[in-house]
Amino acid sequence: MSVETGIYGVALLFVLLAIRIPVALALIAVSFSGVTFLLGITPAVGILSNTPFSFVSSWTLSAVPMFLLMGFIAYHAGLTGGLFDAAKAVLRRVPGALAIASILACSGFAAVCGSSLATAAAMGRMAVPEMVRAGYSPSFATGAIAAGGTIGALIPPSILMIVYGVFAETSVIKVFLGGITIGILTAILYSVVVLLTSWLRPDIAPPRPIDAENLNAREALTKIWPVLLLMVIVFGGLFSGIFTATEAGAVGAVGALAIATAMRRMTFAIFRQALIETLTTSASLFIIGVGAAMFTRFLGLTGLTGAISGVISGAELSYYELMLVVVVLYLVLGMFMEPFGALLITLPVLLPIFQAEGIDLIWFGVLVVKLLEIGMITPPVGLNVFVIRNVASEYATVAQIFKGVIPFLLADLVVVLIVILAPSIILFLPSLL
Amino acid sequence: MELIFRIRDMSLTALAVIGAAAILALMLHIMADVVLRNSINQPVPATYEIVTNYYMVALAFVPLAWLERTGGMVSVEVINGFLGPRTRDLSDRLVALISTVIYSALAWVTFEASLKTFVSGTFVMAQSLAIPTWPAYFLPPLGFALAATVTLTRIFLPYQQKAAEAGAIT
Repeated sequence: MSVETGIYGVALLFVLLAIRIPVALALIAVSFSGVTFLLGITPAVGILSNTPFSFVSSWTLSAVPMFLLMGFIAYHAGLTGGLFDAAKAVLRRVPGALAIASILACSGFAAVCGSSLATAAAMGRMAVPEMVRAGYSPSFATGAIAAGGTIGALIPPSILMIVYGVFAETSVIKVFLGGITIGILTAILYSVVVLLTSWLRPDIAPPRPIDAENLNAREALTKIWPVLLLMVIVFGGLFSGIFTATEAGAVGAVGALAIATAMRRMTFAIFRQALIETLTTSASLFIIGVGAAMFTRFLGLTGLTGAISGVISGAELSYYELMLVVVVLYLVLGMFMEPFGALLITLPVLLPIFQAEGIDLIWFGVLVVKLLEIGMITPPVGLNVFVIRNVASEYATVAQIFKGVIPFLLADLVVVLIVILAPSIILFLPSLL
Repeated sequence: MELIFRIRDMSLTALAVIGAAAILALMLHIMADVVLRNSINQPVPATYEIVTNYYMVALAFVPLAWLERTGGMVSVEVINGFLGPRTRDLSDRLVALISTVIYSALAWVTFEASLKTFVSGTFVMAQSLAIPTWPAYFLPPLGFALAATVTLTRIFLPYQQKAAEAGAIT
């Protein structure tokens, strides 16, 4: 029975992952041995030998290194430094202003950066010391930034959404548009958490406004021009049709380089660092993608996804029951895996099922990226928390940051609930295109 | 011994430099295409073909060995906390052994595929321009073979892996 082979394959995959074989190599090993078992060695070589080349030589995927480069340059050259000041100046009379300002700044940074780790790192370095000085508990301050960083992968550009779009064969731009809504929704609910906390627990989030007489709102707003200019270049060109979503990454990277140079912020060390991080991230991501593409072929041959699909339609799971399964699945995976591994291991199984169930793949892309981002702040492996721990190590331990994240996790669950109950909220913007 | 390590690390850095060069070439090539297409209605010929077949393949596969050395490969770190130093060392060697087998198999399989494209002189047509793509097919086996040599040395000389977050991507 080939379905059984599929089940053994999935089991073997988890064994290999558990003994710390890199995700990409585990996927490749299972697929290769699985196809060999089913068809013999020669057909297996024939089917899989071209996958590394054919998967990577993708035009859409070329946006991944470009958007990464743009974000890393913006981060290391400090193009986004003005965002936090501007948000502080505008919000200074609001209770919990500093924390809300840092969440807003995360959202602004997200528009030029596709990665939640870079967003968390950039804001953590800037905002955590200031919040602690203003009387916030270090746990709450670091938790707010760790959570705020996840907005980086929700508001476009988003590396996770590009990769999803490639695998689901859907329009990346449409997933991006849905990402705008869920990103803003997340930022609003996080701000509500801050407001409630400063009201209920003034000891951990002081409600008093920022005492900043020297903060001139107009002056502070002029300092966000580098980010605004970059956004106008990338999204203006994108939506006016001067260049495609794929090309927007390259234009954005050149734009970030040019702006940083014009601001005299560009040094060789920054350039080198941005390139190294882009290369590490792209190469480690693409090889997982190669593994996932092989795994998709293997699962296709076993008929396992069809069988699971049959079980699900046979069980007549309602939409809400199916969603409950999906949410729990990703929350559990997110506790242990980084988002790309979790995404690429699950999509080969889930996409055919969702297609059969008639679920909108644009909407699902937005939901799944949100669920994966929740995994960035859940213990024991919460990468955003580790990053904050790295950039603000003198303020809080990993355990304290995880504790500070809890109220924001509750807000995340509310966002997920809204998205599931009212899919049309997410699909409104994509439907305009 | 010291000298061998230095040579190895320099060669691995060279791989990263090739990957970085591919990233920059990708950026400049697409940018030039966008600018020329929109200004003088004259796109850079074969942009799509060169980006997908050369830059992307180079930046994905050439740096693999460097990635293995710098701890950039992503793995699941669930059992890390439960490992003592000795089991940890053994587990590192086991991971290195299995990785070497997988990389070698990949190198062999993709090399066979690249030989086929070499024999047939595979190319793609961009308008009236024939772009040979067969040389690019040798990049994956090259990258896998180099990665295999790095993991092979790790079976005998495991080194301290960086902390969990080092393997994080985005």
